[in-house]
Amino acid sequence: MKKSRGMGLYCAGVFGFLYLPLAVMFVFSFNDARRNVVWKGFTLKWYSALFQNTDMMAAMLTSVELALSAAAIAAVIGMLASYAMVKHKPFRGRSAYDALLSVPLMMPEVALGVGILTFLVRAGYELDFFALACSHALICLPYTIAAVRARLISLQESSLEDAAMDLGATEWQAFVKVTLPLARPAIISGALLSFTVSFQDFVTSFFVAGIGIVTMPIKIYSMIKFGVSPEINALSVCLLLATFTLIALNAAFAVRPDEASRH
Amino acid sequence: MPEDALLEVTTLNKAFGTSTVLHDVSLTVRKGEFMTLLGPSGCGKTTTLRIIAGFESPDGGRVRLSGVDVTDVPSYERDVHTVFQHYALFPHLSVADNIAFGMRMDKVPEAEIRTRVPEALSMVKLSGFEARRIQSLSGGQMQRVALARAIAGRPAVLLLDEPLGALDLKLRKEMQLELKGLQKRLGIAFIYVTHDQEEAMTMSDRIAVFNHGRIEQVGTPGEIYEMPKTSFVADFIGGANIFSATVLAGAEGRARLMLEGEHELDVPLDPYESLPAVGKRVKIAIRPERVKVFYKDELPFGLIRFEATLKDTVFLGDACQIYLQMFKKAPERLTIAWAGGDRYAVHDDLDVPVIAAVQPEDVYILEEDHD
Repeated sequence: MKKSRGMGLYCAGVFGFLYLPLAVMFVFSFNDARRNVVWKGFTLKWYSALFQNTDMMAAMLTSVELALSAAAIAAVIGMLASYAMVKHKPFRGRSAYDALLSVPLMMPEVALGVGILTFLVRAGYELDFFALACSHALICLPYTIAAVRARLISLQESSLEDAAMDLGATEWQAFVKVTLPLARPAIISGALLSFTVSFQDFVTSFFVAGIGIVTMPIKIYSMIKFGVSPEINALSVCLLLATFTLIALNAAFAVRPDEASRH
Repeated sequence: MPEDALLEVTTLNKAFGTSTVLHDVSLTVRKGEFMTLLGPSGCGKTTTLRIIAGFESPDGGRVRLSGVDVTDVPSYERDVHTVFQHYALFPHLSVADNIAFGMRMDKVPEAEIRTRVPEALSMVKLSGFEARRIQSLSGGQMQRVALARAIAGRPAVLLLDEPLGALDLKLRKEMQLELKGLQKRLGIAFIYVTHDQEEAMTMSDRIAVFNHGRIEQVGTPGEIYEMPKTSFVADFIGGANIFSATVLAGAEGRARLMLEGEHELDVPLDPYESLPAVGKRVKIAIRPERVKVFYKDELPFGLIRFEATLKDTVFLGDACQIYLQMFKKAPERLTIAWAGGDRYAVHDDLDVPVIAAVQPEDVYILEEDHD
């Protein structure tokens, strides 16, 4: 008994450490006061102010569009890259290829941001929406690959493509009729992760976003320069809820054990 | 080549990196034949099957199907279907769609597919399973669906890669007889890969015994058992006592041998065996169940007689294993004999003198091993 109680306290401590700041923010988003620190009473005015703030809504829309584009680009490239890694027999430099694909995960984002910016400017490419979406796709790629590759490996081990080709399917038909439908949950799960990564990204956007492209995190940053308004608390709560929804969706799409083919 | 040859494989060679997995493998499978590729793991039997299916291409050698060279034909254009070791059923499709997959690829009209799917299911005794999900099936049922999927397209040759390996013993025994019956009814040639010699003996018309990437012997189960050509075949199928011997003399289908340097014996040669050169060292095999043990010196006429010491007995239920010491110069070398399941007929006393005896025709002279 004593032991499990100690464990319970420990867990409560860890969760408190993780989530208490978020809880405080949540509570104070309903606080009827300009200053954050004192509780004055319940209000929804910060939420209504937020939704009437057209700049803010525009930034929100930009971020959603950006995240969708980045997730789509990363999903296509990630699927093809994983397929190549799993399908092809070991080739020279394969481990380097594997490692290079996960570099964006470990590299300081500042370095990545500066690198992309320098490259685009040198190349004379205008810093438009597409450039930003591609930069975001780059940081999303490792997540997509991690999700898809594991699934493709388990498909490969169960010789399903061999079976399809044995029954008369060409390589392309086997890919479209067997591999792709079975990899779909993993692709969607990777895309949802990518969406969250792109949506909350600040550093890369800060470097690469050209004039006129304002994403949500950039908007928040610029608002904070003029002091923390309770509006920001309200906004953060909205973002938090959106993130939780995505995580829940991701869990729902993640491959269930009984979905994987049996061995 | 025989006239009714359906599949001919000639001098297949294959290496993965530096290890050679197939070495001049040649094999002919006749129409409607149940051919088993038998051998321990890593012997090349599965690689041979994958080359026939078209999943691997050989480094050398040809594959001919119904007289047509298909060595460079991709797997999806070969009239050959495979039952995979782990079934490889498509988990996102229903049982019916799994079975129809091959026919849809071959552009068989939907109306015909609708009659052929239930037909295939009834052949594997799963009528009414059309709408079931793959995840809801038991191992044995998945096995049957995999089989139905492979035969539904009516291939010329069906390849089976250890298809019963994942089933429990009782189900395996049932499926062995069922598969054999199905094969006879369909008249399709089966090429069946297994490492289980009993399974091979039960089901096959002919067996090709593989070892280290070579075929050691091809023959009917009876031929393989009664006339093993090499010590590997003798030992792998049924087990054998293998001894070394020197040829002393030979004439008119008989040879005189010196066994392990201390027993002289006179044995008949099989018709296909050529007379080994005098003075040559050879290996011979004697099946344990052909070694008779006598506790008194009163042998029937015509047996070869060895004085031996009883070293151990092991009761196995349906048989009794008896370990004998037959050679004074090599006392550590024990001979195994089998006696019937009557345990009271076997003496419990150890280290007692007994007489071991064999029929001369139960002594096989083996060919030299490859390695």
